[in-house]
Order: sequence, then C-alpha cells, then structure tokens
Amino acid sequence: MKQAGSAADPLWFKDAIIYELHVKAFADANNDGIGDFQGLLGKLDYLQELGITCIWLLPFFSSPLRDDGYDIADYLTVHPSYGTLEDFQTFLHAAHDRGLQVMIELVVNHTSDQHAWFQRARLAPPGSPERDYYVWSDTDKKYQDARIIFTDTEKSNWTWDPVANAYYWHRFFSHQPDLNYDNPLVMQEVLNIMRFWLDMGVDALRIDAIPYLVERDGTNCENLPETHAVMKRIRAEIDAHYEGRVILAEANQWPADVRPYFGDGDECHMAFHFPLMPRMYMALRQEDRLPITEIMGQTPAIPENCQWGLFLRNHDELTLEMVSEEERDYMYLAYSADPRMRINIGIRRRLAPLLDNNRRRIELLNSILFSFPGTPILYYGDEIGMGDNIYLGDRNGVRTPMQWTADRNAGFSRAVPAKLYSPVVMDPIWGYEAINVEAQQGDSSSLLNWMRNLIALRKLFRVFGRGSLKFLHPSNRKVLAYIREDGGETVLCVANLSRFAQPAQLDLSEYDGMIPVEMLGYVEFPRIGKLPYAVTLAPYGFLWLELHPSQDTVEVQSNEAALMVADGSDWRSLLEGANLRKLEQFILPAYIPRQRWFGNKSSTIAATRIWDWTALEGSGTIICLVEVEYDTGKFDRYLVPLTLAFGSSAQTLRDDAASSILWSALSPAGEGVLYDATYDAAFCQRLLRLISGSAEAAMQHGKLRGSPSSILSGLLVAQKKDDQQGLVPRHGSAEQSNTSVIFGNRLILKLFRHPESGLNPDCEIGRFLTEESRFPNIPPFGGSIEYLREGEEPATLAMLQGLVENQGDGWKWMLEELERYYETYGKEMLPAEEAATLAYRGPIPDGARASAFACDHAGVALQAAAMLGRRTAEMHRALVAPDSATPDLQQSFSAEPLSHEDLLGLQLAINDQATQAYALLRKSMSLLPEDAVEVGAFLLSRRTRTLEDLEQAKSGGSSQAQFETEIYGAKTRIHGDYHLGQVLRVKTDFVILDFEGEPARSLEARRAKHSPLKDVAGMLRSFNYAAWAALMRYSSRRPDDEAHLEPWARLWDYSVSAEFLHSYRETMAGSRLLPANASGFRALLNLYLLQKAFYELLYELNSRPDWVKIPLMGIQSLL
Amino acid sequence: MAETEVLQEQAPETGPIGRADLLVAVAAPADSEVLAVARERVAEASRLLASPCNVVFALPGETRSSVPRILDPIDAGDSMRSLQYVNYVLPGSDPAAMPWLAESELYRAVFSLAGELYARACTVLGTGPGSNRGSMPIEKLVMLLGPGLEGNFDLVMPIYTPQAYEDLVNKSILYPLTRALYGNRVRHPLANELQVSSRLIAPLSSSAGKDLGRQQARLLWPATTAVARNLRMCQVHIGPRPVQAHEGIELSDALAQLVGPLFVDMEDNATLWQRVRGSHDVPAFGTAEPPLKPTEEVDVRPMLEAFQLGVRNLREIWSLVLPPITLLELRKLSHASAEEFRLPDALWARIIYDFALASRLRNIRRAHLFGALTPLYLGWAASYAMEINRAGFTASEERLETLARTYEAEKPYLLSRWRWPDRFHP
Repeated sequence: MKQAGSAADPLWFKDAIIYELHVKAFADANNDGIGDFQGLLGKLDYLQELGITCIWLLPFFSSPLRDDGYDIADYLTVHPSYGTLEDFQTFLHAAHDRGLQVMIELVVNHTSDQHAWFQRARLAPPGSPERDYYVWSDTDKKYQDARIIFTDTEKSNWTWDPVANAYYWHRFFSHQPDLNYDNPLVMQEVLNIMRFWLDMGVDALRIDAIPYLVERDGTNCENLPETHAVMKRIRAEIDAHYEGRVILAEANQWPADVRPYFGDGDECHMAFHFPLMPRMYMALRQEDRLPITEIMGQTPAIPENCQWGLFLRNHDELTLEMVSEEERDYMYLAYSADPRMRINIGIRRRLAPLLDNNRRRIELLNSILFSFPGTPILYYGDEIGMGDNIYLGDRNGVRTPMQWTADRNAGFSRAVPAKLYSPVVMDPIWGYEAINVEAQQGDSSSLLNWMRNLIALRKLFRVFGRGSLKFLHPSNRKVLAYIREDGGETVLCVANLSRFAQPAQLDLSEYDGMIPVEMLGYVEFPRIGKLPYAVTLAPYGFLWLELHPSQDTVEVQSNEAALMVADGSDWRSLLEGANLRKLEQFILPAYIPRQRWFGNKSSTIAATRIWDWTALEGSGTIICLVEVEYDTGKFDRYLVPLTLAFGSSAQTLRDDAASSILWSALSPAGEGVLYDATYDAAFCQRLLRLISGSAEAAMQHGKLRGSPSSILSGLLVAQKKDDQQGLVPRHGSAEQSNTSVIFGNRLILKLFRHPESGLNPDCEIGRFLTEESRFPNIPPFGGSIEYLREGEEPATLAMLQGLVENQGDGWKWMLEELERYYETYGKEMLPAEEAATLAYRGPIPDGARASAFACDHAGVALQAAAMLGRRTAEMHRALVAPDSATPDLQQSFSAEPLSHEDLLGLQLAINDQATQAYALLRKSMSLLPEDAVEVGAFLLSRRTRTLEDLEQAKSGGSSQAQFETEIYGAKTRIHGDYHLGQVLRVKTDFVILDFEGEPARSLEARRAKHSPLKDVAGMLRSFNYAAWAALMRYSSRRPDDEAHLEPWARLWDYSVSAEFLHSYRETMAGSRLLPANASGFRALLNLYLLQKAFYELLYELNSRPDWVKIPLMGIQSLL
Repeated sequence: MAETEVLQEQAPETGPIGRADLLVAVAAPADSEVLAVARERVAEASRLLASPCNVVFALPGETRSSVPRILDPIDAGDSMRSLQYVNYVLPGSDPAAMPWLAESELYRAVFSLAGELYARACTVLGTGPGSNRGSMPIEKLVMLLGPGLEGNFDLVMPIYTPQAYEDLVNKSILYPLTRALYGNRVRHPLANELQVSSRLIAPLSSSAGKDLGRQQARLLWPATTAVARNLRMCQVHIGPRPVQAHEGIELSDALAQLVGPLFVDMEDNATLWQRVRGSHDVPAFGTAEPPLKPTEEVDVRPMLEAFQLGVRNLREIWSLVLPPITLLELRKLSHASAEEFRLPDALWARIIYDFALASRLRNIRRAHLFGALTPLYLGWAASYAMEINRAGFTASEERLETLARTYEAEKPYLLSRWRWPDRFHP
C-alpha cells in the first residue's frame, strides 16, 4: 500500500505557492542567535495567513556549514543549531494541520568532506566499494570538458587528497566531493535517505545540482543519459511506494536541456525555469517584452503531469549563466553598479534592491511571476521587500535574518546582537526599523498585504497553475500581453514594462463577444469585438482580465440541460424534438468551431442544420452531414459521426478524450455523453466493413457507398498473416483538416471532415497511382466511402490506405539531421573556399553538385535529397496516364502543353501575391524581429522595381519574350502541396503522402494541371526552410554560435538542393514534361520558387513573424 | 391491503450488515406510535416506487441492530421488493443548546449507515423534534423516495409551504445568499427532509479533514457539495414545515450556528462560487401551495429598538466590518420613524457580503461578529414585517424573489471585496 502525502490532489504542486526559507534565518525560539524549528513553528500562522501552500526548507541537516548547509555531513539528522528531529516532526505535522505542504532538500550530487562516507573512502583501498562512494583519479586531467561552476573560488574540479593519495572530483567547492553514481551502493544510500524523509511525511524533495550527478570522459559531464537513469530510478521508487510526493529539479540549463528531466512524466515533477528569471529583469529594464517572449518561445512543452518552477529571486545569486555574454554585460551594468554586488556568474541582491525599491516594479514582476505558466516560488522576506547586505561574504548578503518587528534584532531573536548568525539589515532604507512584518501587517496598503491579496487571487484561478499560454503581439513592444486558458477559464494578462503610461491594441478577435472582467476589482470592461481591443496601462501597470462569455450566452447555457434519451442505443431521439433543436441550435454551433478540422475559423456560424443522416446498423452510431451557415450567408458541410456512451465508458471518455465530447446526455440509467464516433471502435470497424464489402447504407436523402481498391483484399490478408493485434482501431493523434483512424499496424482511414462534391484528388491520385501506374512509393490505396445524392456529384467522405512503417516525416527527419550537423560543426569556421562558393546568391546553377567538402560533412542528408529527387521524378512520370488508359483517366491524367495563357496566369498570380505581400510587409516592418529588419527593408526598397518587372513579364516584357523562344514543357497532375512534411522517411527511401492539395482551395483548383516544376519548387523551398528553421532552433540555445553557423546553413541548403535537382533531372531525362532546355527550366522553376516564397511571406507575416526572415531571404535570393 | 401493511418482524440475525437500495431514516426522537405510522407510510410508499428495490428503514433506538431485519415482503407478487429495518442510535448532542450541530450529527449518523449498506440513495425523514418523520402525504413521500433510485437526481430538497413571518433567517440570508453564490434556486437550503444519492453519501459523510466546523458546514449545506460535484438536484413540495421552536437559544447564537457554517463554506468554495453568474431554477415536483395565513400580527417595535441600540453602541465594531458608506446609511436609518423605516435590499445584501468577508479575514472574533450582525438582522426583519403587513402576507414570496435578485445583482460587490480586501473602501 502506498503511503499518502498530506495533499489529496496528486497534482497539488501545479496550484501551489511555494515559500523558500532557511530555518536559521527565519525565527529563533531559543535565543541562541540562530533560527530553529521551534521558531519556525511559531511563524506558521504568518505563513498560512500569507496564503502560501508549500514551505521549501533549505538544508537543515548536520553539516560543517561551509556552504550554508549544502555540505551535508549526515543526511538523517538535524543540525543541532536548528533543533532536533522531533522538532522537525512537530513542525511537519503542524504545517500539515494547516494544509501546508513541506519540501526539503535532497543534496545528493555531493557530500561534505566531513561526511563519514568520505572519511571512510579516503582511507579505503583503491577499487574497494567504500572508496568508490566518490570519484577518484590519479590525474587531474580527466573530464577536461567540464566547466568550473564556482569560478570565483575554484580553479579546478579536481582536488588532491593526501590521505587517499589521489584526486577527488567536485563540481562545486573543493570541500564538497561528488558522489559516484556508478557505484550501486551510492544509489541505495540515496534511496534510503529519501525513504527516511518521505516516510516521515515530507511532501516534496528539491534535488540539488541534478545535471552533474554522473561524469563521463569526452563530455561536459552535464545532463548525461546516465543521470537520467538515476532520476528515473528515484522516481520509480517514489511512484511505487508513495502518493502525492514531488521532485523538483535544480538544473540551471536551457529549457530544451531541462526538458529531458521531465522524461515522459517519469522523472521530475517540477524543474526550475532558470533562463526566464534574468530575462524578466532584462525586459523590465529595457522596457521591451522580447527577452521574455523569446525565452518562452524556446520553452518546450512538458508532460501533463509536470510543471515549471518560477521565481524572481532565491538564496543564490541572480544567475546569469543562461544568457549570452552581451546580455550578461547588460545585466551587470543595469543591476550591479557596485562590483561587490557580483559573485560567480551572477548578481547577489534581493528583489527590492534590484528594483530600486520601486513598489510598482515589484508588483509588476510579481504579477508576471504569478500569472505565467508554472508554480511561483517566493523567497522569504521578499514579500515585505527586504533589503540585502552586500558587505557580507559569499551569498550571505541575501540570507540575513527575517525582519519581523522594529524591536531588537528585528524580532528574529532575543540574543545579544553580536551572537546572531548574521547581522540584521540596519540601514535607514532597508533596515528592520523601516521594513518589518509587524509594521506591514498594520498597514493595509503595505507590500505584504498586496502580496497576500495577490496570492489569494491566484489561488482562486486554476488556470494560472494549469492553463496554456499564448502571447499576443501588440505593436507596442513595451507591452507584454498573453492569454492563459484552461478548460472554460480564459484570462488575459497585460503588463506595461515601461515607466510611462502605454497604449496597446490587442488582437482579441478570437474572443469576439466576450466580456473582460478585471480580476482584482471585478470590474467589467467593454465587450470584445472584431476590431483590435484598446487598453491603456499606467506606468508599470498590469491588468488581469477574466474573459466571460456574454450574459446572453450564460443564460442560454444555464438553461441547457442534458440531452434526454432512453438509453445508449436511442439515437433516434437525438434527431427529434427538443434534442434535435438543442443539437442544431446550441451543441453543434458550439462544438464545430472548436475542432481542428473546422476550416473556416475566421467566420461566425449563424446556424447549423442536420442536412442528411443515417444510423449505421450494428454500431449504435449516426453519421450526420451537418450544414454550417455563416453570418455572411455562405455555408459549408461537415461530416460529424455521433454516438452515445454511458457509465464507465462515458467516464473513460471524460478522462482520456474529453475533447471528443459534445454534450452530456441523461437516461434513466444515469449520466452519459454524446461524443465523436471516431473514438468508438465499433463505428470504425463498421466503416471498414462498408469499404471492404462494397456495401451501401441508405441515408435519409442520399446514400453511402463503400468502394474497395483492387488491392484491399491483399492488404487485409497480409494483415491477418503478420499482425497479431488484428485490426483494432485507434484514433490518430495528428488531426488536421481530416480525422484519421488507424487499424492495427496496417491500415489508416482518413475521414474528410469537409467533404465536397466532386472527385477528391487524394483518392483520385491514390487510386490512379496504386491501380494504374503501380507506383510503389505511396501508401497503397485501399478504398473509399462516397456520399451519393441525386442531382449532386459524389462526395468522398473517407479514404483507406495501407499504413507505412516509417522513421517520421521528411521535415522532422531533416531537422534531426541538421541538429546533428550544427551540433558537430557549431564551433568550426567554414573553410574560406566553401564560403566563397556560397557568396553566390540566387537559384542553384545548372548542373551544380554538392562539393566534396559538403559530401563529407552532410553526406546522409545529401544522399536522402538525391533519393527524394529521384522519387519525385518517378512520381511525376507515374502521374501521366498511359495511352492504354480509359478515356476518363486520359482526361484526368494526360499531359497537356503548357500554354502562354498558363504562363500569363502564373505570372498574374505571382504579381497579385507579391503586391499583397509587399503591402503587408510595409505595414509590419515595426513588428519584424531584429534579424529580419535589414532584409525586409532591402526588399521593400526594391519593391517598385520588382513589381514593375513582374508586370512587364505579365504583359509581354522580356521574360515573356524569353518564354516565347522556349519550349515550356507540359502541364499534368502533380502533388500540388509538396514539401518535406508530405514525405515519410522509410529506411533509406521516401514514401510520398497526401495528394489532397491545399485544403483551402476548391476541388477544381486542386485538380488543375501544372508544370511538375511547381512541386520541385515546393521541395526546394522546404529544404531552405529546414536549414534556417533548424539554425534558429539551435542558436536559440547557443546564440553565440549563430553568426558563424550561417555559412554552414547556406552550404547545407545549397548542397541538398543541388543533389535533389540533379537526381530529379537525371531521372526525368528525356521526359517532355519539363522545359526542353536549361534556360527554360530555370526560368520556369524561378517563377514557381518566387510564387512559393511570396506565399510563405504572407503566411509568416500573418501567423509567425519570428520566421519571416526565411521567406524574405528566399525572395532576396531570387530577385 | 391492510394485511400486507402488518409488519412482521423476524428474529435478528448476526453477521455483517447487509445491502440496501434505499435507506429511509427517521432522524429524530419519536415514540412508538409515531414510528408505527412512519413504518406504515414508508411501506406504502415503497410499494408505489417505480423501480422495485430493497428498502431499509432506519429507526432510532437504544442500541444498534447488527443487521437489517425483515419487516414484510411488501408485495407478495414481487420478490424484488422488500422492506427491512434497522435500529440505530441517535447521536448524543443536546439539540436544545446546539440544534444545528445536533442536526449535522444526525445527518452524519444516517449517511454513515447508508454508506455501510451501500445504499444507492438515502432519504432522511425529518430532523429535529417537530419534524415530519414520515407523516407527510403519501404522494409527497413517494416523491422524496424515488428520484435518487432512478439515477436522475443526486439531491432531493424539500420546498415547504411558505409562511409570511416564519423562516426569516432562511428568507433574509440563507436562501438568497446560497442562490446568489451557487446559482441554484434551492428554496430551503437548510432542510429537515431530503434525499441524497450514493454519489453524495460518501462526500457528505466523509470525515476527511480535521476541522469539525467544516464537516458540519458540509452536512448542513448538501446543495453546495452537489454543485461542487456537478450533481443534479431537484426539489419536492412537501407541505408545511413543522414549527421548530428553539427556545432558549440566543438569536446571535442561532445566527452563528446557521450563518457561520455558510460563511465557512464560502471560504472553501470560493473558486466555485466566483465563477457563477446569475441563477437558474432547480426542477420542483409536486404542487406549490399558497402561503399560510399568519395567526397573529408581528410587533416590530422591539426589533426596531434593538436595531437603534445597535447603531448607538456597535458603531466601533461595525466599522471593522462595514465600509463608511454603509455606516452612514445605517445611521440615517436609525433616525427614521417606525412608519418610514425600510432597510433597502441592496444595503442588506452588502451588509451580509461584508460580514462574510469579515468572517474570512478574521477581523473580529466570531462570537462578536454574529453579535454585531444580530441588530442588523432585526432591522431587516422589522423592515420586512412592515412591508408584508402593508402588502399582505400573500406578497411574501414576491418580496423574497426581489431580495434574492438583489443579492445576485450585488454579487460583483462581494467579488470585488473578496478578491482585493482593502480597508480604503468607499
């Protein structure tokens, strides 16, 4: 039986407010000048009233105290200055009685050199288990790549021990030898320590210095796989024997490097977000939100059961390890004018002195801390704005006694002042007579009362601890604005980082109709509309606004009861009377816009109507075609299969697939849910049978018809032979405009949620390539389900394909290759001769190949690109119907000459797109990221000329003349939306996916014929994107490497593109599909590249400004 | 018919207590005659339930039965229906001194028994000395036994026949406050009769948490737990509420015992009620009855005098709880003549909200808090009585609805005060 913790909710830490304190510094009950547990016990009421929910105790174990207790000499006893083990237990129980959790330190990277283990080890013979509790070496040259952390005091990570006659390893002070986790006895000792405290009832463990637990030669000895194995072992022990306990990781690393410490939710529950903290101070001083938004942009998603720990200050220096050198210099200049304020790589000051004791700045940073995704951690004394003492050594200046009253020793102790472990702060501004708890308790406007109110407010809203984060992008960068969302809770936070009042226009159109209510005072703000929402903020002001549905919606919701049905098979009553009205007027209009497959998110739904439906026999499911009418008068149709579940099935859906639920249902048997039937195995099986059996199902007005391909029976037989799982369906995770259902490991069924009348190109091409051309490098087409209705063209509702085992899509695969490429060459300069080649800007020259140097350095990617070029060419050849094909196929798949009109159309399209893109670029210049401004300005400066060139080309200028002398090749069916995300890496080959075209276009446009070079251009742009996207990702962690990696990115892009093109042209040799000569090939390809790049520019400006540099550079290279 | 109603007891069996579909309990002391009537009615009602079920009838006794005893196969032709009974011991709290504490203990005893019997539903037939104990009309009794069994409702609350001058704490505070907080129009949130389903039995009878006051609050206000767990509620019109005279109890003690737990509940459920906007009806079964005609007129003078005395003597304490604008209003009211005296609803709602906040902030000691509320409550009662005297007793329900809506309208005041308590308040 597992031992429960003091909190009922296992995820309590997500909603926690953690308060960090040192027992010695908090309250002294026995008047010996040092704080103790009895003193802390007496202050629990204060902490409870403050509203914090978890107390984090700094080390209180037996120790020589050469590193403030982080040098532990005995893990299982309390340092006598702080009390006894019984005192700790009394404190622990008292805290639990008040509903407070307790976190203690597990400092197990190292011990004190006074620990019995170390004393025993230095005397033990080399190689003995006792000796191997620590890391020894005969030389101090081992692990040379490991950095020194305490640069101010330590010159090496090795120290000579004359007793052991060997060097011992230490990442911190030389009196703190590192434990050796390669010795299984050490792991056992650590688990014993952990069990000792958890058995006592401790709720959480902060694991100190996690990245350094294990050492390996040839590495920097940080974040090694072996370290993760240690953490998994610790976590497994906790999960096996305890409930509601938490591990907090101290890993002062970049977010991407900390992310592995969460594992798959099976390592640490929490980890500090170190790089955010200095950037909050930087953003405040620079009056610019970018430092914050950038670091949050680099912060990866973490498992559902994990949480970031956020803080403004703690017991150490304000660490500047996770900033660039330039940023570090800035921080030193901005926040530590006196060199005494600096230590190691950081600033040893408290919150209030850092902010010049400005109350509004303190409140602003706390407002961000308390509203960002993570658990806020307060450092003792910061709630009253305590000061520091920079004249004390090490980090002791921020560890002075808590200031309780204006009495002697700040009310901390009644000992004679000289006996205190540290002098209290006494200067006129920060001294205890000016700043103390008692005075602030009596002052309702004090910082203490403000903090208490803020804490209470945060605790009212689960969204702060558990919700998602989305930044808004007001043009005024002095304003930081973000949305937090969790379930039905939506909170808008806006902060003014400037010392002057600031306006901001927020794009809240997504929340049209909602009413912001200021959370502190419950003040209703004007309703949100489609136009930008204007707010004005006082200097350092902030707003927390809860977005409420309008009162009209509330009335409707409150009056909407569950759907009333007789039982789980009573689908008919769903489509009658009050249930039908509810479904059409309320449930579907609320459900459909929330779905990823809903394509028209910018429109407002005016009404929905069940246009046609059928109940699938034997599955208890209804398939509905829902007509969605917009306020513009236009309408779409969507495929919505629905079914009911009750009892434990309903509960499982609520727990595991809440997004599938449309509404609650009620029957005499109890509560249930109406949900998306694609989550129902029986329904999915029924669809499969509809296809495999060539079956039909009548609907109210039309009918469904299943059509297997000629190879489906082969796919099903193969499944029976080698797949033991059978065809068990599961809902696919990557839902886009369609929904996918995967059967066993063999088949995938794609449901087209927005079925359109007419041939679906994905089905049409899939069937053609499978049955006619027998092109092997696509997922084999298995069949389809069509909707037939008199007077209308058939509409494809679903397509079945064989499932291809793969190593991920081409985009992901290439990014991983690039990650390795940058990692390997990140420190090297590209040789001058290679760099000179790359000075050339523009499209790939004819016949270009990757250099030998490039082959040596990016060989795997180059081979893959060549293979992809070959498969692309083979696909284009296979997309042309042979002469023997049926007339219908001939019409759809024959190659036709590319005419002047086609070219004119293409040029017109590019011209339009360029005009739009330039207009938007001009409007957005102030929003561009720093690194895109220059190239953006350059392009704008050439705008007129470019547009004139394009106009000339369209109206018969030089380009036209050029084309008239060329043979343009042919137009035929192509992929249409070709990029790395549309191919799967299968061993050393590729499989090409998704012939649906761009879903936003009409079926007619998606089935139109084009030159195959359009696909080629798409893939070349995709290579370019991959090279720069990977560089952006890499350099976000290592900004100093970015400048000299840019030539490496160009080399990769150039070489991969060259190999792709070479292989493509070689495979297409002799084909009449392409322009007959090189200049025609090049001119046409350039046009398609330009079209694609302008399209990308528009997209990035609208949706992803951080990436805008990529298409800008692409366009620049083409002009 | 008469024959089947004869209760035939079987010898007590030993062994673990069995299972029941429905536990029906009389939760008040009663003599054998009263209990015999109750048995008869429960048997009759059990026969009329739509779903056949095994009913266990719990009766107060000297000792506790170890196992239910068969009373009667209530329908010879239907082996699925049975009626058994158990004895259980009433908790020993003195209802005279602490009536609502005793009531919460009664609930706990009954719900614990229901938990042991794995009952799908549990109906309590009256707590307190004057309660119904099953004496209500049979059709109302059936309504109080059925819903939990069918699975459609987790909490069945009573609606008593309105009485113009009775039940004033409920009218002035309990009903409008709980309605504004949680959005459900549960007419009598503090009930003497009710039914809970198995989904509510466990959380209500849980002794988790060491704070006894909070446990009592949970038991007295089951509707709050139902709302917190998103469970379904309905109400049943069950006729007049027997008069429950709690002689000897100071009004301030009564307020502390009734309103105090509600304020505690507000602290625990702040995240819940702060998201509720507006209110909606809770389905009610049965026929609403017109208000009962009062037997005598109310003399408001002593109440007004108590209010005026409060204004004179309690200003200092009130100033710890109420903002200056409210204090000013109260002072003006104290100068009004008896005929002119009227405590506006908005002012009253804000006063209650401010007292709830003071309870949370522990501004003053609890006993003083409710002592300070008492003259204000009497002022409201006097104001209300005079209005009803003028408008006629049949207007009392409309008057109550107006007050409840005002509580809802003033809820933003509570939210702003609660979220950002600041003495510098207008």
